[in-house]
Amino acid sequence: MRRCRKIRKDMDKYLDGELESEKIPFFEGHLKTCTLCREALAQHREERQQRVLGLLPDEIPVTTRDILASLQGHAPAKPAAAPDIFPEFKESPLARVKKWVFRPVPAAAFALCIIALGLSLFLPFNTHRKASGAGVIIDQIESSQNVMIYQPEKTDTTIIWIMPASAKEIS
Amino acid sequence: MFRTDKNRASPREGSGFISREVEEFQTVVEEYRSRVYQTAYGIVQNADDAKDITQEVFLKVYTKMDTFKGLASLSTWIYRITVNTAIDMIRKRKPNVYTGFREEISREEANVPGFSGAARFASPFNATYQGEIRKLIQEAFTRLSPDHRVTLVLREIEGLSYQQIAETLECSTGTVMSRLHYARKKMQKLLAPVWRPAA
Repeated sequence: MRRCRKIRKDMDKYLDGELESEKIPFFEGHLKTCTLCREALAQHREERQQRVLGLLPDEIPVTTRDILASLQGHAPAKPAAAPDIFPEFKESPLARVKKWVFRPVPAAAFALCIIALGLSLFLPFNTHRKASGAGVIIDQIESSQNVMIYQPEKTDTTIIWIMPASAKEIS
Repeated sequence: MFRTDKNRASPREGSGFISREVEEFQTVVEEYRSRVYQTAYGIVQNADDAKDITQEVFLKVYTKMDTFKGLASLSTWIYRITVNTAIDMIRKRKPNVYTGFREEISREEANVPGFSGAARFASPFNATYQGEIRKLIQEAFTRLSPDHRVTLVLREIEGLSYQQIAETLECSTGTVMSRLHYARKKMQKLLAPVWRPAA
């Protein structure tokens, strides 16, 4: 009888699947030999099932559509901040700028751009170039600098070139 | 797990555009909708209240996702929100519902015609019987304290382990076992005339 009392006490734990593993052989062994405890366990299981059935809803009346519609007009969660894993190694803004400026490849590219821009502004690339396309030289003015007035064919445009003294030959 | 961003759109029906985050949230809703409703219904035993709780729970999930630290699983977090919302609802609606004005359901109430003793279990799907028994079970259940209700629902309806219940309710497994023990004992006592009617 004392064994039966122990078994009855552990019935819920056994049905929950939470009975300690070392107690299971004793529990199941007793059930094999004791009809009363076996019947009690069956009835207990039945009562629990009835209880669950009694507490369950008949249907799930809430649809995903209802839920999403109910969220209308509500602001979503703000973005979660990235975790600050190593706060002690946080870079200062100045250090970030220095890091980019002193990187060799971006620095070289930047320098090349500056040089190219300078050359395009200060060097007369087209002084030795022959005027392209058919056109008529209207006049040439002798001065300390060579001045040439040029009108391309079939256009009303007049181009006046003022050239440095070194670029006299345009033929 | 869905992430959130600054420009996340509100879910708009029929807008033709649903952002990725809303789509992911929709997946969360699909996955947890039934469980949330079932848990809420189990605790409050009222369909309308359970529906309101379900919508409130998902609204909280949607607006407070940034407070989810990922320390517990998403399901534990959602269960926790559901339980807290349901308990708030119980306290708000019926403050004295579990004070227990009578200790047990009377034998007259439990007297379901045509069914007694073992015969009840022989035809458990009889609609009349099911309806009557169901009412009595629900009545007995609403006499439990909110903590006992919640623990019983999480274990018996949701099938959570003691450990999962402890994480959800933020208490020890010992507390869970103790609450379950008292909840079941009380239910057995209240439903004694139903299970074992006088001959």
